[in-house]
Amino acid sequence: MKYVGKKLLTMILTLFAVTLFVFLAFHVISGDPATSMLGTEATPARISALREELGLNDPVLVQYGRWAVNFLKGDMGTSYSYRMPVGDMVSDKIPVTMTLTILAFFMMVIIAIPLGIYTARHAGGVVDRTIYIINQVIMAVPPFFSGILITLLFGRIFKLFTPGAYVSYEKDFLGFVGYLLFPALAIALPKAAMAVKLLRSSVIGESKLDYVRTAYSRGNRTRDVLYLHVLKNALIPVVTFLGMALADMIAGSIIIEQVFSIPGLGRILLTSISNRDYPVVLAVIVCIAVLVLVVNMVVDLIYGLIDPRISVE
Amino acid sequence: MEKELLLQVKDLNIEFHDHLIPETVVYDFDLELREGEIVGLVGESGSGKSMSALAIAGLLSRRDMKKRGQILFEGRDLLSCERDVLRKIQGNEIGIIFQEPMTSLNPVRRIGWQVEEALRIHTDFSKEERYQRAIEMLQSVELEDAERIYRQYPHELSGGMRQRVMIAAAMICNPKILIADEPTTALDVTIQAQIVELLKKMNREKKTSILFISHDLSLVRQLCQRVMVMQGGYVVETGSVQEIFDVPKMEYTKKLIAAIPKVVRKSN
Repeated sequence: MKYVGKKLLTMILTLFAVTLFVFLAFHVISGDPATSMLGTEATPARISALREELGLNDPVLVQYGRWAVNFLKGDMGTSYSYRMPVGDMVSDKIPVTMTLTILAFFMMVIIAIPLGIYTARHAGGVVDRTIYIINQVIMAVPPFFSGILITLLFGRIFKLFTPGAYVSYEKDFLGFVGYLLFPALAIALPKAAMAVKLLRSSVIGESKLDYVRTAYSRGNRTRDVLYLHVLKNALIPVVTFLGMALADMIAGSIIIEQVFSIPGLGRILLTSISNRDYPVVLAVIVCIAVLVLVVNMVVDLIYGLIDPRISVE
Repeated sequence: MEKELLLQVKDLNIEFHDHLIPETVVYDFDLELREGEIVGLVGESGSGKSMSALAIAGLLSRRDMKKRGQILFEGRDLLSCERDVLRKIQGNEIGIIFQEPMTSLNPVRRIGWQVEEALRIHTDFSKEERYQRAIEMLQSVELEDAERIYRQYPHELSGGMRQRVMIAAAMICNPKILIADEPTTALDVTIQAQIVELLKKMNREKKTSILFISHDLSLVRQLCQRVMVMQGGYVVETGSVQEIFDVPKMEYTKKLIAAIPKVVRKSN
């Protein structure tokens, strides 16, 4: 319980650090929300009136303080470009990005764990060497490009989905998940390739340790030595990696959402950055940061469960 | 009177095959182990004593090592038998403990789980029966608070306690033979003596035959009835403890005996 409290406090402090950093970044990059709202033809007088109205002329820390107080009250402000509450704009995007990330994560696990174990057990064999080459290629290809390849292969050639025809989750949840499978695959593949390599070398490394010899000395079958003894040890570094990969996937979905025209957090983030729509940008960043922090906390807890040497307290 | 012959190793040769040039590490190794007997196998590092022990326990990889000869346990040759036959003997009829108690236990499994493992593999005992047996075993290796240790993890125990756990795990199926591969080398001197006492007790109470591998002749003298001396892959001398210590034939054996610290010899 004490642990959870401590973690929550760290989370809140991290959130403040992240949002403050974003705030400061806005003041470094060029571009002005008032200009982008009114267009380049607007008179300087109107622009400066709008800046005053939006509170953009106040010192940065005052602006940040105002935003933080409102945020704590549950008010994330109003979008500059859409003139609607940011909360409403962002809340229906969260399920989209979360579903995409969760799908990608499960795909990564489903691909990586069996392949990692298989290649470790049959290290040096034909399948192992083939997978090694495929892994190298997949790791070298960035997700947006594999996204394009997947669109081409599954969308255009096999016609398993219609590229660009996004299905809203409110209308047809299964259709929505079906559409997201393909972008999720694009996100999952490079991470899965890394996880296969990591698990393979982890299993092989663990198999050389003394406790494995002890396990054989008790009359265990090779299978049982692998699944009852080696695997739990070998998974420890892999869980760390999967956690980092999941956090990375949340951020990585931004680009894939562009490739597959998915209206998730990533798309709204990119549009609002180019519109200098600061309240929206901040809200999206807060969402992504919270997701990443929660994932890290869960990974820490799982870590403590599989490795008794690590005490969560 | 002769006790029943349990284990007979004939002309065991072990060759490494994981290098370009095959390398022989054990030549023409012969061993007889009778019921209830404790045989010591001594020699310096690299003399082939651990290799012979691992071969008897069936723990040398069949791929990288070429073995010739016979390891007859109750009439069956462990070198040429099916893996399944060997597995039924491992942990059940032949138990083994190792030099490194710190790393020989699985770090992510509870002590109880590991102590019970051989029962899970070789018997139909229920969960409750296994628990009872494990607790009895932990108590018989003189670990205090067996119920608590049952639930602990290896990293929570000291080296001496872990070696006791290893003995409990190796002995749980009442094996006829216990192979102890330098079981005291990694431990403090006081703990060494306790482990040797414990092995004596196992031998006395359960009639387990022990093959005790060590480079420490003073321990061998305390524990064993017969001794085999190995050097460079060959058994160079065999005999009863008295013969070996009082009238060593080989120069090498004399040197090994001379290497025992004087303080220990006086106290004996």
